[in-house]
Amino acid sequence: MGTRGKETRQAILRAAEHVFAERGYAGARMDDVAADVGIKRASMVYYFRDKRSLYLALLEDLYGELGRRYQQVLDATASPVDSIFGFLDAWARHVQERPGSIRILMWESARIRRASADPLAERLRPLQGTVMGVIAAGQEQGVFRSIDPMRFIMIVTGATAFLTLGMNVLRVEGEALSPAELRTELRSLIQRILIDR
Amino acid sequence: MQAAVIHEAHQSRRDAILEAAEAVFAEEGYDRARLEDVARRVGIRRASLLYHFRDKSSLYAAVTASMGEDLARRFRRALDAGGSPGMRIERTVDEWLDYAAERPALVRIMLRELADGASEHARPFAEQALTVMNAVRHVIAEGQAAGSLRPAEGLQVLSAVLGASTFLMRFGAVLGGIGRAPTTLADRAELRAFMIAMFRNFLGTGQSDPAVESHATAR
Repeated sequence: MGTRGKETRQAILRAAEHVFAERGYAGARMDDVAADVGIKRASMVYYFRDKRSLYLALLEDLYGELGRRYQQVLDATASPVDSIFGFLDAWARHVQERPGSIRILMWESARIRRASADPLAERLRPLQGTVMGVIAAGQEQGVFRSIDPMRFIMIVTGATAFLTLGMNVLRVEGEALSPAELRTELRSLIQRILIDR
Repeated sequence: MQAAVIHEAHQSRRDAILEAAEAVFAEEGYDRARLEDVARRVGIRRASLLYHFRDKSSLYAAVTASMGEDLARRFRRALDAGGSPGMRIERTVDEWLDYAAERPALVRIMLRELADGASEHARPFAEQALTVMNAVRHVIAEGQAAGSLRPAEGLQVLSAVLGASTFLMRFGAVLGGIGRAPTTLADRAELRAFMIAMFRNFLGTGQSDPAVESHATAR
């Protein structure tokens, strides 16, 4: 694929993030994505043959990027405490730059699961593994409390959703959090549940 | 007398429609939900449904308004009953878990509203939810003023506790497909203990003597 083709593919993924975040998998339409990019639906098939393959590519794009951010944190930090707060900063930045990543989690949580092999779960698995590894290391060193790592991940993700999306629903004027405030709130949450005794 | 009977029949038909709509909206989401499906569940024609609700948007508004009223009623009951601010706040946990258990569709509709950035039709719910949040914040502030609760920003505490619990109720299902079974808090007793622990951690609810608490927590 040439540069132009890569750019178009990237533009389609960005548009898809918006459409899937707005409508969920079931409500999203390929036509809306095409219209957003400003190309014909027929041309989109060249890049993604159907809605499902577009969705899978989007999941890969969103959570793959988050995974790369986590890897950079791992490479740059030496202690579990630094790594976990580094992950948190990367997560807060990712959620702010690519809001689809948290909104899609909400959509998927609202659905009743039928398929046993879920592409979202598959995508999230390496991320969970990375975070859980750091938590286990911190617990071994005695710097983290003995919270279940899965539970820790769910608390932070759930709190992030309410602190960002929840404020939109409530239309709490003047109380929507800035990215810096979100980061501060989540840092203080992690401090409480993982470190303070 | 006859008018009363007719009114009652009208009301129960309306309630049946709302109940069916709640399930359909939870399952399909607003965009995909069809009035035909709601009517079929009730066992009436679409035209009869339109007699009660003029369109999908007003049906959805009625469903979410009922969600909001139920939530507000339950939280008022928890907060208005006597006791210390800490006890009143901890009592909301049971109301919240009952709400989620009795009307699981509502939690899913709430998640959908979170996901799609809050629709205009759900405004009645948003207003009720905001009233509920403010009522809890008021009790938190009362406890803080009296020195029985720790300083922590009420809105953030609630976001963390409600956000985490809502997510925990549903997200285990998302991760359920992978090989290593994740720990979910589907179990009510566990979820309850978790929420109470969070309130205690953040606000010091459940403390009889605030002076025992050595550290004033960061917000």
